[in-house]
Amino acid sequence: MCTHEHKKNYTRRDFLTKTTLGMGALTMGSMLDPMSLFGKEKSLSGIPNLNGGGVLGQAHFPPKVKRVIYLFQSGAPSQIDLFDHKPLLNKMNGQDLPESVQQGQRLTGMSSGQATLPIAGSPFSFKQHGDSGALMSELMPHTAKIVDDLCFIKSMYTEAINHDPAVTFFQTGSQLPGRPSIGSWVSYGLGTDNKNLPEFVVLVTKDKFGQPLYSRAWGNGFLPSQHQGVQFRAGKDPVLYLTNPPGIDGKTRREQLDQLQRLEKINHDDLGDPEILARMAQYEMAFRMQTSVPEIMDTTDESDYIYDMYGEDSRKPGTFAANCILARRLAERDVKFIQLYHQGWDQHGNLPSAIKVQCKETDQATAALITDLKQRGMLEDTLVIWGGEFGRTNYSQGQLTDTNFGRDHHPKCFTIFMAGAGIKKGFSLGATDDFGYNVVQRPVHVHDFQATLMHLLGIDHERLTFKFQGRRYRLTDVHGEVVKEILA
Amino acid sequence: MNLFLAFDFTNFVGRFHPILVHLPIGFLLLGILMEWYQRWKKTEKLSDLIGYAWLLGAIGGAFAAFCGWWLGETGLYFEDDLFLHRWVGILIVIISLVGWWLKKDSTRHSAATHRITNLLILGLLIFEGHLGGNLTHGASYLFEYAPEPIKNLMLNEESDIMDFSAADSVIVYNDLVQPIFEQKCFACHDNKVQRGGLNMASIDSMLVGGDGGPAFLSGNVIESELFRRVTLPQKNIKFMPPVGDPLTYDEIKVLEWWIASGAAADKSLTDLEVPESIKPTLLRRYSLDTNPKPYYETVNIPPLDSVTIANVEENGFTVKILGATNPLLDVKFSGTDLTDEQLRSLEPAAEHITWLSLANTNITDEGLATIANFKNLTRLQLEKTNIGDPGVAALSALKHLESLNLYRTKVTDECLTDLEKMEGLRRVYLWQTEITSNKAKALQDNNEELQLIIGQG
Ligand code: HEC
Repeated sequence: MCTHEHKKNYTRRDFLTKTTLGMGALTMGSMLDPMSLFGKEKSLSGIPNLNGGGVLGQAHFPPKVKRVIYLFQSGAPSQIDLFDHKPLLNKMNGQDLPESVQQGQRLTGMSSGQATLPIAGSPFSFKQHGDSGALMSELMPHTAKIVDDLCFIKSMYTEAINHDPAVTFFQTGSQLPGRPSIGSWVSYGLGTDNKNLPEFVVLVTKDKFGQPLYSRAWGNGFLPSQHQGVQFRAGKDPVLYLTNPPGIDGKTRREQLDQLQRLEKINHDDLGDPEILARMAQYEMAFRMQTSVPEIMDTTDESDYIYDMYGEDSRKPGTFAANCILARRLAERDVKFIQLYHQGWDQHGNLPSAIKVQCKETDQATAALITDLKQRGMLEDTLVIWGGEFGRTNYSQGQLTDTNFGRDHHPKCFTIFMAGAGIKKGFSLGATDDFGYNVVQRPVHVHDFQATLMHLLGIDHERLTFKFQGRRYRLTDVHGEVVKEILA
Repeated sequence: MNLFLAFDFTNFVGRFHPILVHLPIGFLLLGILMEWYQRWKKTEKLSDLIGYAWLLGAIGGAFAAFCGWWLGETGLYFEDDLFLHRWVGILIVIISLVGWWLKKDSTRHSAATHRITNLLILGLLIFEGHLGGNLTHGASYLFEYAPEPIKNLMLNEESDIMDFSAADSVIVYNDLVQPIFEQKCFACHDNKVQRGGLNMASIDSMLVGGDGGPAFLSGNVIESELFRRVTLPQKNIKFMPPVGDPLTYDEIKVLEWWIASGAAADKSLTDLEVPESIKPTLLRRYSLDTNPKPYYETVNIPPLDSVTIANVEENGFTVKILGATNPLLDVKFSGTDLTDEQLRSLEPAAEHITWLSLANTNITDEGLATIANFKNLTRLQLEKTNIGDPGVAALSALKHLESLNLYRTKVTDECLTDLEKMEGLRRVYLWQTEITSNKAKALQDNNEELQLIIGQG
């Protein structure tokens, strides 16, 4: 390599950033933590290790939640058939949805051309459960048993009407791709609690189809790339390309990495590109994960009654239930943000039979996860979230028959629930109208949800920002208000 | 005024005011425009018509002022604004008469006198018109839709959200209820003005009430006239306030709660029972969180120096400061082999540690004696250790301990008596221990606040 080439890349801007910010950061660092200057264990990024090395150094205020398990139900589950009981729909079954309810709301191309929008009452029966009297449909018998530990938000709404923008919106705060996801923001802000595992781990249920999931939903956007979500897969290679190739043992790999680090350091001193630091951090993380990941993925030490609790599926790697057990194991090892994805909720047709399959796959394991966390005392500081990207319509897409119908996308209202630290138990916030079409009480926007999530983690969502292309970005864009009503 | 009440003379005559006011304005403007035109054309002698226009203006103005006076008597307008509007109106009538006298024989007076009179009347008309507009439409009407900077300049809008730092210092009547009255009712019901005979300046004067009797009955919302008035349909003639912004949902809720809870003068928020239904309102409108704060947010001590923190970290602990606003510490031992020496390294931080995890370590019952002095400890994790009943007994002096994790330890039913002693304790995790569920249940039934989580399997 010719050094001359490098010098050419070193722009005036780099120079200024490095000299002014670099010195600034040095002084700041030593002001915050005088020890850091005297070469105690220094992290690669040069940020003192106190409080996990996140940019915030410490949380804005005491966190209620130290880790999050987000059970994302991709495809958008039908709130009307699961949580939001609307008897009026059964009474008006088959009638055209009145314009006074729909109020010109845009529909997707899939049902906007329909001559009528026949109201479809839920064929499933609802009952009240627990001391809190929460209404749950018969589709979720296990979750119904733990409603007194749950907090429902029945008045969620979003702006997107199609899957990918809606998932992207939920995970990154913007419908357009390119922003960091929630887990990345958390990792960036708060750093790690376990140096041997990534702060942000993603588990996607195997062999589920439907709307595609793009890895940008756990992407780091413009944040340094060590903050991206790391996907763990079922099977021989949980994390791709992690194992040493045949003939290379751990010691050789270590020496190789040390050598590489030295080279990268020279490279970084020369160019000052933060992505070099990110790469160095990732090499190191990968090395540590060579031992930590197999230990996590090997669930043979789980007892039989645990498998029984999570359901038969949980013995099959890659299922939602198996991923729930993994999620718990990751949480026990202090991984900060654990994101599960379960696809297949997009029931435009055949809803009555398809939703049963989905619920069978998720209901028991969800309830078991929450119960299991509770008995281990982990709900003290772990938050579990269950929900999709939007809701489903109260009318049938396509033909409504006695036994069959489908529901289209509906952004104007849907239900999510949470359990765990910092939020009320046995509580339900907000309400929709009798048609289950519009929110009539305490609307909660996606940005409000994100603001609340950050708040629980001890972060003021308005103060965790990243400057990119001349503008400071944050997860909640310029919106979002903490939903104080659900805080315990 | 009472004399005319028979056919509501006040309202009848009063309502002609808006019709009549515009006529004299037209005359006066016409007079001024004619004069300007003639002076511009350098006409030698000003037309007589100019004087007549001023006279008609004065006469029309007098009629408008007469009706306006009675409109003001209906009591539907804010007294302070009304005063100025009334007297500026009358001043305009007088100056128009003066103008007529000047213009009648215009050459006898200097051009400067004419000019000053013209400008004076113009200025007064604009000012008076604005006052009148404010009276009928409210002060914010004009600039409500102005571009943001102008709007901010002209209307210094106070945000609806008030911030009180602590719930116990908030006196419900003084801090929550009276400000509503002050903002929306005092203009017509205070020591100066008493529309309908009602003075709302104090609780006593409200209990004396107005022409229709007491304004409210303590503890009885439905029978309270005041509450009825603010919750009537807005079109109803009896609706209060008759002009200006009606009470918001949150304000009505606060008022309702205050009357229902006995309309006390000096009760603070913590004296009164705060029903669940009012909590969201208090939170939304006043940022008042009536849920009790966790203990660790009430501790007020200076932060620990970083050398001590570094020393604790060097001994194998992970240390986190709770937050930028709270110097207490969250400490966790990262390994499994915990020596006495390491444990003792926590002592300088004893007061600061509020969350501590020694889970999965070889901590012993004797070792816990060190921790018994950590007086600000609220959460302690000892799961998956060999702690037994003596260890729990050692902890029983920790009165702020709220959550104790003992899952998969050696504790037995014997420790339940010690757990019962810890008054701050709310949640104890006892899964996979020797604790029997009926003993645990018995203890829990005695202690409503205490939750023992036994788990399943
Ligand atoms: C713009 C003036 C005005 C404002 C502001 C106003 N009032 Fe009145 N109020 C009146 C007038 C005039 C009457 C008498 C006529 C009537 O009874 O409707 C009256 C009468 C009343 C009475 C009945 C008194 C009685 O014993 O007959 C009550 C109670 C009352 N007001 C409450 C309120 C409350 C509460 C507010 C604030 C939310 C308020 N008013 C604001 C003008 C006002």
